[in-house]
Amino acid sequence: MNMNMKNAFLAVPLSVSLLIPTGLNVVSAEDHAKPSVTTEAVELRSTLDNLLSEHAYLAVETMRKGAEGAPDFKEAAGALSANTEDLAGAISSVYGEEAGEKFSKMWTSHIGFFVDYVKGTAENDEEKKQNALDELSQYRQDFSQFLESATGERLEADALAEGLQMHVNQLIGAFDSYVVGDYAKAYEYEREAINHMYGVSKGLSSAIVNQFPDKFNNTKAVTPAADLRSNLNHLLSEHAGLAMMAMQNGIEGSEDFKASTEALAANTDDLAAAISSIYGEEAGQQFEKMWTGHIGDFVTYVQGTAKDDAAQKEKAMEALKNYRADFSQFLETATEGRLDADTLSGNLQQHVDHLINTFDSYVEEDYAATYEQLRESYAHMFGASKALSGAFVSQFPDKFAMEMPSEMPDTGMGGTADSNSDLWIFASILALISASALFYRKQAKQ
Amino acid sequence: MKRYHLSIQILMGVILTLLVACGGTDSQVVSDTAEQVSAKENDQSSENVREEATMQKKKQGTYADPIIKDEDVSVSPKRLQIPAIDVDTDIENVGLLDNGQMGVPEQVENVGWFEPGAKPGARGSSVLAGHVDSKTGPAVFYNLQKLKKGDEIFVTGESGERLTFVVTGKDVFPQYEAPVEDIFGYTARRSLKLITCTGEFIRSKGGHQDRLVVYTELKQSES
Repeated sequence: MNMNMKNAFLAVPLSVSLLIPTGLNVVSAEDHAKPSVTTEAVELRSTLDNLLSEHAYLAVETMRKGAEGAPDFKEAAGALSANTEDLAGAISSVYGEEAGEKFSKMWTSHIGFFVDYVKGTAENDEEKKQNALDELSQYRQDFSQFLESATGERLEADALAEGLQMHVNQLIGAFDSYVVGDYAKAYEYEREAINHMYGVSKGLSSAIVNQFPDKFNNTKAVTPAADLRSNLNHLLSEHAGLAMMAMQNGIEGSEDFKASTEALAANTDDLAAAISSIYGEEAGQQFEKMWTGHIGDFVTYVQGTAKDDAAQKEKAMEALKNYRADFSQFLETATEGRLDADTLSGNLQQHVDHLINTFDSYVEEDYAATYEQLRESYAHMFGASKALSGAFVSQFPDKFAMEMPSEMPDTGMGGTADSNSDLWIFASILALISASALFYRKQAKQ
Repeated sequence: MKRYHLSIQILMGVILTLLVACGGTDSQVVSDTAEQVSAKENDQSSENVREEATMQKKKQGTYADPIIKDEDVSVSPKRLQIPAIDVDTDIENVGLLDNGQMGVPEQVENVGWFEPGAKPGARGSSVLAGHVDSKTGPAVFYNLQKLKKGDEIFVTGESGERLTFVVTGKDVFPQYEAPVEDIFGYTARRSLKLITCTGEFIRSKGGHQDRLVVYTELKQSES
C-alpha cells in the first residue's frame, strides 16, 4: 500500500513557484534585530523543551510498560531516570549544585509516586492508589514552592501547582485509559501530556532568562522565532517518539497498535499544518504525502521483521532512501537553498538509522541499547528543528519579527493638566469663546 | 550530545524491583512472547497471554472522563468594563508606531489593545492603553489611578464571551524609564495590563512625564 503511495507522490512535480508565498516583501530596513532561533535564551528553552517533553513521553510509556508487565519496563524506567539526571543538570547549571540536587530529589520522588499508582492498579488496591495521589498532591505544593523561590517569584506557586496538577492528571489519565483499554484516549492523553510540557518549558525558560539576563546575553526565550523552533521541537520529537512506540507495538501485535499509529498520523497532520502556515496549503499537502509515505516505509520494515522477510526489509530501506532524496530536495527548494539537500539527506539518514536501530535492538531484546538509542533518537529531532526553523526564519524574517514597543504609548493630550502652556491657554480661550457664543445663542433664543 | 547516566537511583531501583517482582510471572510470560517476533503467527496466543498479563484491562473499553488539557480561553477584545471607575467602552486594535511607541486609540473615549501582543486571557502580557485626557478634559482612563488591588475588570470578546481580571497592583514610571520589555514581554501568567499617562504635563517635553501601569490577572475558572 505504501509503495503505491510512494509512486503517487513521486508523480506530483515539485513546483518551485508553489513554495514561494506571494506578496511577501523582503524588507531590508529593519527597526528590530533580525529574528533568530539560536540565541542563548532560545537554546535554553529548547533544552528544556527536550528534557521536559521527554519526561512526559517516557513517563507515559514507562507506566504503560508497567501496566503490560512488559520485559523492557525496567529499561524504560531507567531512561526516565537518566532524563531526570539531565534535567537536574540543567537546573544546576542555572541555580547551582545544591538546587540541582534538591530538584533531583523532588523530581525522583514524584516519579516514585506514579510507580506507586501503577503498583496500586496492579494490585487492585484503591487505598494505595489514593495514597499515591495524596503524595503527588503534597509534591505539587513543595515543588511549586521550590520553583517560585528559585525564580524569584517570576513563577507563582499557585499557577505552578495548577499546572503540575494538570501534568499529574494527564499521566494518570493516560494510564487509566490504557488500563481500561481505551487506547484512542490513552494516546490522546499522551499527546496532551507532551504538549503541556512545552507550556511549562516556555514559562520556565522565560522566567530564568528574565532572572539572569546577563547569562543569556539579554536575549528572550519567547519570540515568534523561538515559538516556531519550539513548535517544530514539539512536533518532530513527538513524531520520533510515537514512531518508535508504534514500531514496538507493531512487532508485538499489541492491542493499542492501531491507536498508536493514529496518534502518529495526528502528529503528521499537525506538522503539515505548520508547513502550510509558512509555505501554503499545497506545499503542506506535498509535505504530508511524503511524510506519510516514509512512515509507511517503516511499517513495511516492521512487517518484514515480523515475517522474517529480509527482502521486504531491504525494500523498505530502499524506499526510505528514495524518501530521503525526495524530501531533502523538497526542503532545499522550499527554503531556496537555505537548507542543503545533501546535508539534509545525511541528517535524515541518521533519523532513519536511529529508528531502525532502536527497533532492531528491541526485537533483539537488548533493551538497554533500545532505550539509549531511543533517547538519542528523540534528542536528534531537536537538531532537525533547529536547522529547519533557522532556515524558515531567515527566509521570512518579517513573518517572525518580534513586535515589541520600544516606548510607552502617548495616552494624554493635556486637557486636564495644570500647565500654563500657550497652547493650553489658547485652547481654553477657544473653549471659552465657544461656550460664551453658545451662551449668547441660548440667550438670544429665549 | 547528551549525557547518559543509566544508573538507576537507589530509591527508584527499590521501587522498581518491587514492581517487577509483583508482576513477576506476568512479565515472564510477556518476555516469552517477545522472543517470537512474528506478530501475525502469534496473534492468537499473544492475545491470550495479554489477557493474563494485563491488569484489569478490558479490551476496547472506554474511559469516560473528558481529556484534561490547557484550554485556550483568550478572546479578541471588543469591550472593556471597569465598574470601580465607571468605565464601559469599546476596544480598538492598535499596533506599533513608526517611532517604536505603542499606538493609541483614535477615539479618546476608546481603549487600544496592543494587537501584536497576547490576547486577553492567554498566557503572556496583554496590554490595553487609554487616554487620561483629551485636549479639553478627562478621557476614558482619567480615574485609572483610583483602581486598587482586588478591583475587577471585564473584557468581552468578539463572540460575546466575557473574562474577569483582578487588579494585583500598579506602578508609575517616568515615560522613558518604563521597563517596556517586562510590561509587554511573555510571562506564564495570564496578565492584562492597563496603561495611561500620568504626572506633570510639559508640552515641550512631550506632554505627560510619567506612565501609570495597572496590573491585573485573569480570575480563574468562573462560569
